Amino acid sequence: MKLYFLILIVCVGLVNFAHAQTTLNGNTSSRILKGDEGLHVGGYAQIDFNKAISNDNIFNNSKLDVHRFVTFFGYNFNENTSFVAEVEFEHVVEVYVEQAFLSHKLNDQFNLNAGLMLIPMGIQNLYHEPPTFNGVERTNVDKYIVPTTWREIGVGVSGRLKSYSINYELMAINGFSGYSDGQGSFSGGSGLRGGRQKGAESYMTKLDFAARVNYYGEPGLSLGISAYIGGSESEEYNNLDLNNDFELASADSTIVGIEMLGIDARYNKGPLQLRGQYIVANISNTEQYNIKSNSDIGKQLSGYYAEVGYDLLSKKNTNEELIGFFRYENYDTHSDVDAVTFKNDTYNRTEMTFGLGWKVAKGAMLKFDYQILSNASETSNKSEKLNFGTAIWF
Amino acid sequence: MFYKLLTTTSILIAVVGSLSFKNIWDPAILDWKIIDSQVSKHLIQNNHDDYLVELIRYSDNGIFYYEVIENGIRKGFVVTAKAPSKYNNFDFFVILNLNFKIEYLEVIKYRENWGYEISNKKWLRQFSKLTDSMLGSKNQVQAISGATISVHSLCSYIDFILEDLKNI
Repeated sequence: MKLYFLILIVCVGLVNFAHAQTTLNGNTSSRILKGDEGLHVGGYAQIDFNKAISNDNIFNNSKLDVHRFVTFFGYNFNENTSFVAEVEFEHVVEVYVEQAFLSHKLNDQFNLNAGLMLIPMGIQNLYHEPPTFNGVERTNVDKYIVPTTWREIGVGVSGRLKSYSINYELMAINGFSGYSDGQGSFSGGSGLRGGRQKGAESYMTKLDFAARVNYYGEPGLSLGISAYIGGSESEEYNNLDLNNDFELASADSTIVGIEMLGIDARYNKGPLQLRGQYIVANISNTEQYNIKSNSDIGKQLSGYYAEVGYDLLSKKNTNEELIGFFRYENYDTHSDVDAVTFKNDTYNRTEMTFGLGWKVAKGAMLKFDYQILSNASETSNKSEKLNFGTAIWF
Repeated sequence: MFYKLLTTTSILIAVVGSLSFKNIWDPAILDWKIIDSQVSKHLIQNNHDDYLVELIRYSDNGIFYYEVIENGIRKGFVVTAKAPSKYNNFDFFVILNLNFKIEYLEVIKYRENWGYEISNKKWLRQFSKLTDSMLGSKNQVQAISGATISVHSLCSYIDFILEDLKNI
């Protein structure tokens, strides 16, 4: 009897063990078939080599950098509730939380989200995994006009109108820190970038709002329109006596109003890839802000790019891709300035980038590109830059 | 001594084996009205109410295979599955005829805010009439910028199903 019982246990165990092994030892396809697991783990990384090419007798060292390594985690509590988090190591030594939010689905049309979220503006602030874009570095429109990776804490709703093939996202979040420790965070050259709070002990004077609508009704086509409205935050409002007109006026001169609008398009057809984007930001109260903080932020920031890519291996019998691409990009953080600010034409920058991306596997890419950089100033010389990169995503 | 060793080993194998066995996703949560209406449309020509959908097997990947029977005759198959997207899972079903050709594919529930473009019915139409698991090859399926993981995931599942159905 005892022996029969043991044999039974061994048989059950072996059957179960063999069953599990069948799944675990499968090929790539069967490994991705993970079934209903609560935890999803992934990540992406970008390792760069940059070399500025000098036209004169000045030598520049090359730069080599583990630009970013990000791990992401998604945990599903049940059918409708999940938590999403991304932890980023930037330049090896800097650690950030890039996203950390709870999402609860009420129905297809309505999800409730709360936590540290990406601001839905343009393409790359939402889709910035390195193998998803051409070129070693991200586009500079998505650095100096949209300060990617732009994320703040707040609440929002998102969902899909399936019949119309429309996805929407709407959120209320804290804004940029425009003035802290007696200093302004915005500048003429970098725009709003220095004011990102990134969810690290953020503070808020007033709520800001962001929205995006995306149309995906035609196969391969994605059209997006994004908007942001609000104002920067300022530490000068802490402990502010609202009856003190002088202090109130002083605090009012440390904030700016922000209205940003973006349109973008992506289209894939066989080996052909097209994408483009235009972003404009109108900044108000810059005159007072620039005087108070001794800064030079522009009254208007704008930028655009257009890019064409083609898979040169499309006719070959291989799953690898070799994408040749060309991109024209212009961004100007001084599109317009107030009366007290000198319009700096060196902030009106143009970049032509052409290069190759070799997708050696799904999610793994080796990149090369060459950039010709210029600006609108009369004394400007064109400069050139050579970039190599490793881009992965899993 | 022998029995102790055998008992310990057996229990260990049984426990490890049992732990390795995954929980199975339950397709009962799906909206079967949608599936039934598409089965009627694509597989049943005569009496729309006179057919059965019977489970014939499931895999621990969360894929459920059903056969569609009309008047005692097999008319085709329905397969339901849950596949991973970037942070979550999505549910889909596929209807196949007796030659294992895809008649219809629909993403019935997409949970997250990335990769939702794969639920576009126009995009899903390109899977119709596929029989061979060639989806892993590039250019077989239209790429979608921003939905790379979900496209790859769906293609991997369809590949798996098309191969697996041949064993039924």
